[in-house]
Amino acid sequence: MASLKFQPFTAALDVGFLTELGRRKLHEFGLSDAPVEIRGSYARAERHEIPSPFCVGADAFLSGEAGVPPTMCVAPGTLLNVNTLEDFKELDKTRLLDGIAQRIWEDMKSGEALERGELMLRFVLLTFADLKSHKYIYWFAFPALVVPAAQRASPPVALASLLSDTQRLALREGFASLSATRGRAPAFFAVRVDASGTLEVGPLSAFADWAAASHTPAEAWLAFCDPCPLLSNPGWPLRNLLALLTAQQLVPREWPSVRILAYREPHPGAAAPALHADGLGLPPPPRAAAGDSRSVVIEVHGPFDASPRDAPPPKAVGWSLNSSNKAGPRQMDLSAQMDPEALAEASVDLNLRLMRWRLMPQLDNEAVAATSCLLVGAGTLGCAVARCLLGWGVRTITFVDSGVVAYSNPVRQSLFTFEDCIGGDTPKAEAAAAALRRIFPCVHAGARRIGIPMPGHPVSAAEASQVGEDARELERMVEAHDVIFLLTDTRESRWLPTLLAAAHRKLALTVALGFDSLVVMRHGMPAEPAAPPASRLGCYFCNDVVGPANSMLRRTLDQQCTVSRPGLAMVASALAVELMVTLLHHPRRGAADADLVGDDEAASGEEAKSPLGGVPHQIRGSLPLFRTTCMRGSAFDRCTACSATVVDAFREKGVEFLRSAFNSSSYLEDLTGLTEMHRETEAKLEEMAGLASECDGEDDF
Amino acid sequence: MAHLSPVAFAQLGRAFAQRSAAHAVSWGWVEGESTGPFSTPSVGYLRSSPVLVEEATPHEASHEVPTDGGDDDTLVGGASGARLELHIVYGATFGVPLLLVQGYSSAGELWTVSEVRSHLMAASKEGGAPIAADSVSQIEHPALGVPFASLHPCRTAEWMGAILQRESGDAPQQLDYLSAWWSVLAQSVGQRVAPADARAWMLSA
Ligand SMILES: [Zn+2]
Repeated sequence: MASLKFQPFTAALDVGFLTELGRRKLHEFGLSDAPVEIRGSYARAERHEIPSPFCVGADAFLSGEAGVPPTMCVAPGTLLNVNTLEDFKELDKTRLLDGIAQRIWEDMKSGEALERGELMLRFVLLTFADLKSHKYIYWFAFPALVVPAAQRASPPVALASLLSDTQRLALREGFASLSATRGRAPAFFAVRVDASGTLEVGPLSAFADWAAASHTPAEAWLAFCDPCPLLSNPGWPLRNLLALLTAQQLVPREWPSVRILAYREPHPGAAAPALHADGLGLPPPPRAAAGDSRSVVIEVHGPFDASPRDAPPPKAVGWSLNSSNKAGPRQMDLSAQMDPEALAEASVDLNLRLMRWRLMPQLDNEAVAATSCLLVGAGTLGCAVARCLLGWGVRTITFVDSGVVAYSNPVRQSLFTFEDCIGGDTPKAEAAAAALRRIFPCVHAGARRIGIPMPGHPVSAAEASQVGEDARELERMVEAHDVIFLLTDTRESRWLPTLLAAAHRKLALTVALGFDSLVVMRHGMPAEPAAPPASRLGCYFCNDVVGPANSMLRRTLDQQCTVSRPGLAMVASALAVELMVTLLHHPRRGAADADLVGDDEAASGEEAKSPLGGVPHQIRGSLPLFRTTCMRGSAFDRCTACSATVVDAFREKGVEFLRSAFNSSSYLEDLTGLTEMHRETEAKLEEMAGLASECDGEDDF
Repeated sequence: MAHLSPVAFAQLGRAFAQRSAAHAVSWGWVEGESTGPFSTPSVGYLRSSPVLVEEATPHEASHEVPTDGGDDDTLVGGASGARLELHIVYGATFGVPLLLVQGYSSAGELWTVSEVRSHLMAASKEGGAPIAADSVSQIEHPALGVPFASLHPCRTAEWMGAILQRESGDAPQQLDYLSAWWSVLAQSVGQRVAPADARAWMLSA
């Protein structure tokens, strides 16, 4: 007689188990490698050609059976998590397997296994967890006691050849009600078919009595839930069931053979759905047909003589094979999935996509994320703008700043902490970029320590080459980014970035604060380079009638008083970022004309809109009034920063032109014709200066 | 619109798991955990029995004789398949159930989200509403903290409202939200379930 070959369990380890193992190792096990009780489960094979896997999931550490789906048989296991790879290799596997086999044998001998059949399914899981690299090595063993009975089994026959359709339906119903009584599918059970053909299903412990009362082996069967789908082979649980026949005098001695059912009947499915699912496209409810069965019956021939009470356990086998069918451990590499950076990135993406799904299908998160932003100034405004950009998923942010973090900074400048101040030599740009990476490791945060050359701040011969280099570096930065934020605290330091953005046709946004008032402005970008200035929006300097000059000296204009109400920078920065995002959604992007929701004229005039709302030119806000107002200002053809005269002169003479502007306070005004205009408007200028000296906020408009 | 509270989700989840014994995919209810005296216990979740699926690129099973570990009675080689692990968790953002999916290759390796996505898209073509590519994304399992692919639930409350309305008229609270929800969602993962067993949709049953 050909010996029966058993299909081993296919072990299936869930990622959730491994991470729970890692968590417990960190918080509970520590360096202890003492055995831990776990549980696994498997369902019977059913209709599928694929073996039903033996699953160990995140719930494996829970005791009892709660949480395991009711169609699955639960098996007790022993987890051995070792601390090093060497321990994993050197551990005595034979001894470990024999130890568990011994326990199985003892449970069989004591009769405990008859009451709790799952004790025969004890398994071993040996693991090594490299928590730093998220690599796990694991090896399952399903100890099977090797008994001669396996040699005396005849090949499986289809259940359908032994039972009628009616009997098979009774079998399924009997199995279902036995499962219902126990709360789940039993791994092992007994079947009785009496002389009249009536079929009954009972627990494994019922078998001995049923067999004793039977006239022939055809009347009392042993059965097990079989994870193996093959018609030619039984699955692994049969091995220890055969061993049970050696351990206990279960089958009457005089029986020539015993029938064992490898139970693989389909699930009965839903009983009687009367519900109409029209419109939902639901398929008709599946009902298992009686003939739809992969169950087989194996006849095992005697003799059935139980071994003596103190007999040692038979030899055991059962270490699992790896993917190349060799006995050996398997590996699970979760570094890609569990890498915290990848997790953070996926979560951030999801959050932004939720916004699209829930509220705004037109949202183009990808376009926002792909926008690179240059932040000129890494102070209160730079920090706040950067955080808001992160919130929108912007991935490329570069800071330009020449300062170092001072003790007064961290309370207002949200990317710095006390530690950054110690020593007094931590560059702001780098500290801010490092903070962004700590907040979100997937961001490309850059830093340039560049002093911004300013008009009216004369450059000495010694400084000349450095200033030239700084200007060129700033220009490279402007070229390399899509959007330029002007976030410095003096007016004239915005001049060069404004000019560079205009020269390279980049979207520039300015944020400027007074004590309790704010201005957020986007600089106009001509649709075509040759477009007349009036048709485009102005820049920060367009409203000026004086060129940018050393405000530290003249003390009349702008931000000499850099102390503003603490909430102001947050408000202004947020407005600037939201304006940028709204603009990115506008079909004409940076070239869009000023447009406001509720502004009927603009609404009717311009067809193109941003789905996020209006794209104003300037937003002016006042904290005392708790009000913002939107305004529009056209480009000024004598502007000292964005006019064609200045841009052309810069393009032509480059650094030479810049040096003239830095060294002479009147150079730009002469160049653009402002000087001449001033003479004509002397009186008006006096009036402006008078107003401005109140120094109560944004006074340069 | 029909939303579900965490408490109702847990009640329905336990009943849903208990009733699932007759189905090819059955469910276990894993209770939520309390992490500390002042924290609200987490909502529990449902986990399925493994769903076996054809592998897109089958793993080549070799038929070598094992060197050790088994014995002459051990069958070596043979088919193995990929599997899906399904979880149903409470989606707090939307107040609806959330279907989470993990796929594993026959070699036991975790599928990437895009592998899960293409599987679900292919499976949904065979019946039911097609799944759009951007409706499958990676999220963190609220209880396990591991990445799962999720079917985004933004319209769930909307179509559940329609179903509950249609099936129960004026008494939507009589319907088993979870069973009704699953009967629609199941086809997305290639499962064919009856819309409900007998009166499973009716809570009073
Ligand atoms: Zn200008």
